[in-house]
This record gives sequence, C-alpha cells and structure tokens, in this order.
Amino acid sequence: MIIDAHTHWPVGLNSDPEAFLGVLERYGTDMAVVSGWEVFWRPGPVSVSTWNDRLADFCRRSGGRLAPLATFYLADGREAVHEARRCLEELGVRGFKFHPWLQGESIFCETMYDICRLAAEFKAPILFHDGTPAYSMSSQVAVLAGLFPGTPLILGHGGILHFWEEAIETAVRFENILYSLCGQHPWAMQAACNRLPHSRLLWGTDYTGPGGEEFIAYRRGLFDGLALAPDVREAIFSGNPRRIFRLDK
Amino acid sequence: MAEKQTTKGAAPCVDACCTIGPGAGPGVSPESLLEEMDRAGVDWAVVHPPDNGYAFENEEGNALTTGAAKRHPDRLIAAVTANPWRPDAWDCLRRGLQAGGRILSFSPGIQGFNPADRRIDSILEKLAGDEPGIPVYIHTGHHSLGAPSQLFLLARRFPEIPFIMGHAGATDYAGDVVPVCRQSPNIYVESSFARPPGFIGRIKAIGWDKGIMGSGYPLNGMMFEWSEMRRLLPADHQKAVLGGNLASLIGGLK
Repeated sequence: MIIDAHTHWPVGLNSDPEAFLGVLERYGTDMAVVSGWEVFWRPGPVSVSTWNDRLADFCRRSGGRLAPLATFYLADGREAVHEARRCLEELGVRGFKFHPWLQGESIFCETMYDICRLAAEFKAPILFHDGTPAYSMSSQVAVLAGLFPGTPLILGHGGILHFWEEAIETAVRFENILYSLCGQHPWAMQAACNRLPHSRLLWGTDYTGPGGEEFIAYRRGLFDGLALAPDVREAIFSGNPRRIFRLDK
Repeated sequence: MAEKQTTKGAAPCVDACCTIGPGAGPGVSPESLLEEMDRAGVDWAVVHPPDNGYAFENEEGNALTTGAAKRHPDRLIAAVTANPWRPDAWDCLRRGLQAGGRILSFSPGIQGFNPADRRIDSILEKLAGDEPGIPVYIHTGHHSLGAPSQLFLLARRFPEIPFIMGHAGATDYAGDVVPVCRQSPNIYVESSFARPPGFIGRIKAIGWDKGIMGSGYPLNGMMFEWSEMRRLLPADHQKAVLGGNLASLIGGLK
C-alpha cells in the first residue's frame, strides 16, 4: 500500500476523479491525500467554501482512494472557524492544508488558534507549507506546536532546501509535529529518517495536477533511494498516513 | 555495483555543481567524487568549496578545490571564492585563480551579502579588468539573499561577465527565472536542486544554450540526478545542457 500524503488537484480545471486515479495507477500509488490548488490564490468570485465543497465531492467519487484536506482564510475571522468546522462535520475532510506563503497570512492570530483547538478536538492534522520565509517557516510552526500541543501539525516540506535542519529541530522538540518527506534533497530526507521517530514521518510528491506527473516519478525515486528498513518504509508509505489522516474511518 | 550511465552522443558530460570537503552534508573527498562520477557517467565536475569555505575559511576552501583540480586535471574544475566582506577579497580570489581556479563562486546566503547591492562590485570590476571571461557562479534560491531578481540587477551592471544562476532559484523563486533570463543574455542557469522536470521547462522557454547541468552532489545523489536529466532532456539538447554550454563558457575543457 502506497499513500501519497501531499498532493494537489485543480478541481476547477478538472472535476473528474478518474483522471487523478489514472495518474495514481500509472505510478503505482494506491491512495492520495489531496488539497485543492486554485483555492490557494483565492480566485473570486468563487468562495472558499465552494472550493472546499468541490474538493470534497471530487474525493467522494474516488471510491475511497482520495482523501480531502480543506482550507480557510484567516482574514475571514469567525467565518473561517465556522468553515473549518463545517468541513470536518459535514464534508468529512481528513484535515486541513494551509499555505501561509501563497495565502499571504501569518499564522499567529486568534483565528488560527481557534482552528488549532478545533483540529485538536477532531484529531485532524493541519498540513503546512513550510520552508519559505516570511510566513511559512518551520520554526513558526514550532511556535504554534508549543501553543497547541494537542494539535497534530505537519511540516509539508520539512524545510525544503534551506531550512531542513530547522525543520528537523522543530520535529525533535515537539511531539505533535509530523514531518513530510517531500521537497527536500535526499541528504535531508535521510537525516530526518535517522533522527525522527518513524511514526511521525510521511511521504508525498506535492503533485499539482495535470502536467506535473514527472514530479511523482522524481520524488518517488528520491524516496526509493533512502536507506530504510522495510518496516519503516511500509510505515511511511501506509501505516502512518492511515493513522494520521484517519483513513480507515 | 550499479551499471555505469551514458549519455546519447559522445559529448563530454560536465557536472557544474559538486562540493568537496566537510560541510553540512556528507564529507566527500576528490577521490570518492571521481568514483561517483565514473558510476554516473560524468566526465568532468566543477568542485565548489564546502560551506565553511564560503563563509570564513576561504583560503582553505580554495586550496581544497584547486588542489583537487591539480591532482586530477583531466576530471575536475576548481571554483574559488572569497567572502566579499573581506577587505582583501580580490587578493584572495586572485590567488585562487592563479592556483588554477576557473570559476568564481559566491553564496550570498552564506556570505551575507545581497547581489543587488554594491558589496561585490569592486571584486567584479577587478575580475572584468584582470581576468576577462571568467564566469561567476552565484548560488541562488536562498531567501532574502540570493534571489534571481537580485542577480538580474547585478548582471545588468556587469554585462561583460557571464553569470551562472546556481540552482535556478530553487525552490521558491522558480517562477522568477524565465522573466529574469529573457532579459539577461549574460545569465546561464544551473540545474541542481531545481529538479529536472521543472528545470527543463524553464530552459525550453529561455533557450537551450543557457542550460547547465549540475547534480548538487553530495546532498543529492549524482547517479539519480543525471539519470533523471538524461531521461527527460530532449536528445537534441543533451550535448549542450549536459556539458557543452559550460565547456564553452570556461573556454574549453583542458
């Protein structure tokens, strides 16, 4: 079982899950955790809740192979918290994706704190883009992790290229930090696997939809090259994402 | 042992970004680099100093790269550096060039300067006057210091100097590369850490004569990076991007 824990799909461009499932087939991936794509640029006049609805519907028609992550805009204040709750209770999303860089919002505000409390209540993880100043630093997620130790927070890129050591330090210091092997160079990936509890590791491609298929092959190749015991590889590919995103429920 | 890789055609393969010596990643000796090059089917490699060689121990880093190139003159090409904040930076660089350095290399993120400001200008004025034609490799992609747009301004101040945009702005400045390079005939783009699928798309938009292959070894795996680039790069452009462009830029392999 191989689960790609970090993907996107442009549901506005293509709302047919068969297209995504065909890509998964081609690369031997069984399931994917999916965020939207267009929504991170807040394209009007479509509301954020409509984008979340579209993504949830897209995944609902995938035969259980695609699991959605909703998003929100912090500037919406209380409405953002209501939307997050609606997505968990009514749409059944598995968690949230927040991209502070693209969405242009600092994570240090009462709205994010309320959403962290909500996520903790549902045991729903929040997957952050990380590794990009000024809003998307791994250490900023560490600060949030310290404020909300009951909320599972995922470093979506483990610091990417320049902040990979900061990301590992973040995960070392806070047990509620989960770490995605997605976007780093293999030296950083191996260091994370060597230093972090294996139960907190995920693998992802950051596939962004049609045209980006070669990134799946590339990032799968990087992961395949890591020195990992078979049971660890299996945990990262399958056991961890199943548990973290509650995919069996 | 894995089977040795090969490239279509007989053109030499040149890896523009390898690091030797102790650093943030695994420490690599010149000899183990050569073994990796043999496995990956790479004929030549540019060797850059490790991070401490950029930051502070410039002479030691340059001695490492020029010493390696001297011992292996038919395989290794030395890049040399000096922290631009040093009052004697040009003297340090000149000694590195006299010892066999063929490329100047700067890492704004590690060395703490902005390519867009004038910190580096006195060095480049001397380079252009005393050593015309030597290319300047700038590590890009690091946040705040090392954006492609900062190199854009620098390259306009020194149109006679060929610049190599190391790492093609990876990752967060990937979208800046094409608009920068379309206006900058003296900027070449090096691929390491920019991931072959994305890099190739950008070079296609800029011009195949501007693409330079680099693996980013040893943080990246050399065999895997070369294998992916060979797999994805159109056959017609492999000769140029995998070695020809850089060889021309440094005045030939010797």
